[in-house]
Amino acid sequence: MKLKALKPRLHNAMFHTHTVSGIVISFALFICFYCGAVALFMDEIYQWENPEARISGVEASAVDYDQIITRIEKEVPNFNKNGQFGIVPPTESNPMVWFYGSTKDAEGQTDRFMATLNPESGELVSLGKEPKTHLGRTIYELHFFYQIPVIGIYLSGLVAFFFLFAIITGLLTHWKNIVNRFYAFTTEGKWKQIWTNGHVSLGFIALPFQLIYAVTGALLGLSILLLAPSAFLMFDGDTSKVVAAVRPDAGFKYDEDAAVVDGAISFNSVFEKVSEGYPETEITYIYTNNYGKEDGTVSVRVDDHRGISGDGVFVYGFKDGQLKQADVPNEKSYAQSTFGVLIKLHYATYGGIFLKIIYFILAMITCYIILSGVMIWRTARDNKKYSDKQRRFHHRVTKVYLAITLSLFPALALIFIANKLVPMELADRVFYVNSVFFSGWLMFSLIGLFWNNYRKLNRNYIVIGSVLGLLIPIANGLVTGDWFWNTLANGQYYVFSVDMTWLIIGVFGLAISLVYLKQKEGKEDLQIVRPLRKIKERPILTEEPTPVLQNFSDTK
Amino acid sequence: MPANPKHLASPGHRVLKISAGILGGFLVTILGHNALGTLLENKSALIVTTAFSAFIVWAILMVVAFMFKSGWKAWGVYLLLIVLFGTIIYFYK
Repeated sequence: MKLKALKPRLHNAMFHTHTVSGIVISFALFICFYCGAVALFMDEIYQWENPEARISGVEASAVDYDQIITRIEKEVPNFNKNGQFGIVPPTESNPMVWFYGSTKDAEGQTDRFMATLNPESGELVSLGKEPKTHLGRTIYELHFFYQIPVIGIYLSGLVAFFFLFAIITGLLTHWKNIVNRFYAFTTEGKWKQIWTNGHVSLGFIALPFQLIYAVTGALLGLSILLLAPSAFLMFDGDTSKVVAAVRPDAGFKYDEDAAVVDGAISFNSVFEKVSEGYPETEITYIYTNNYGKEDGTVSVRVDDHRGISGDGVFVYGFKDGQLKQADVPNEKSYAQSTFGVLIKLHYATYGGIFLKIIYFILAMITCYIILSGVMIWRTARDNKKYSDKQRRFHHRVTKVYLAITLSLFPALALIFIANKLVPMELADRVFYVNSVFFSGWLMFSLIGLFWNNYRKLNRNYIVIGSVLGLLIPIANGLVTGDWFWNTLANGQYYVFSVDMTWLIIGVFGLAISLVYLKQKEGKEDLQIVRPLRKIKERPILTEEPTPVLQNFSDTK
Repeated sequence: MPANPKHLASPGHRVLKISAGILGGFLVTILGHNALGTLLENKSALIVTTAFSAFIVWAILMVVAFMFKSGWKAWGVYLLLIVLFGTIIYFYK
């Protein structure tokens, strides 16, 4: 069956815009999906990254939250009790209590801080701008380029938006071939065909997933583009009204000079009230504005982690304990639930760990689609219609893209090792761990530029990453003493699964690179980019061995 | 096989189409949504819808800009829409 093709002019216009937009965003988009896929498990890997968090059997309801506020007041000079501050209760995967607040000095300068506390003793474990371990967060932040000051997040939003553009144009470009390519997924034949079949058929399978990420990613990165004009055009420039429409709990106004009153409620009483009313629903965040003042509020965010609309928020007045705003999970109106649905679709928090695994696989498929797109681009231009100079340029661009993206795998293994080898006691340890990661990534990318053969490039990165990956469980065992057989026996599955995953990745990676990728190496080492330089001396071109491996094939 | 250049627009038209798609498309999207918003009573439902529909509409308008044969025509149509939505916002706000 063939779908009706677009008219030639339209097809070519779509094809060209798809190619250009795809090539421009490709490596950035790869980083978004690759790091984002790992960041899905940010909470699940937390116990692995922070040995101090390897506590079991913690009950969120047993924690004395008011005691924690008193403790913070004592430990943090200039703690700003009237500003917004909040507590994340302990969970099974992340059993620490997290406190987010701000300080305000005599001149009125405010500054944010965070603290982690032991859930049982209430003792302070870390205090400052950053937590002691940052592995998951570093990967998470990289997926929206947070490390690039100021503009990073907007860049990621733009990348997501152009991804949406590339999805639509790609769908139109490949429209007539969607069905027959779907049944032609093969690893044999000409390389151009392999890349194209994979690109189209996998792209079709992952289409809904990618559409979700393009839209929600653009929203998370570029919400400012919607917020400001809507505030200006509909509410005379009052952004708080737009914010209130999206997040009702953020729409309250607070007066800094409100009278100090004795409250009818405390964090503990609010926690109890909500968990009694919704015993099946987890409390994810308790926070407050203008605490201790007449117009203050204490709010609770909840999430059952099951339904797409299973999140909610309850806002209580501090003075009288009255419920001022309630977004009840699974009973919300369209306006109340939509934003939460978009967030849940992006963070995959509506279907447990298996949904996250499916998301992870789809994200990896998307990474393949991105790279196969680059390979199609290069392979299709690898013929005599292009001058040597052009072909070398195509080769170089492809090589740089592959080096940047494929070296992320060994770099990722490196940050896991660095997380263990940099001592916990060291001040600024987060800085050192991140430096190892980013300089390691840079180094791996640069080495890759010397490997002219794509097959070799790919295989070398897999080998390096697999060897480093195998070292990860060993590093964890040596440094923390929690060898993976111990964590399995003790039922510390969050720690065990990280070690085990890396072990499996390492073994499989080595097996694939040794058995599969080695087979044809002897023959193809001859066909690296060098022959191209000789072409100049021989004016008549027959089917020359082309820069890397593949011969041109005109496909209709 | 890359796109056939004989079907692609000249550089001048390309600039027009790209600018019409990105800038014109954005203005049409935002003004269109807000024009609808000024006519509706339930503004919060529209605003949360904008959170996802705006990017979809904008991207489609970018694609449509490339479907026009002439870049001038793309800008012309988008300018007409901008004026139309702008008028609605001006009179009904």
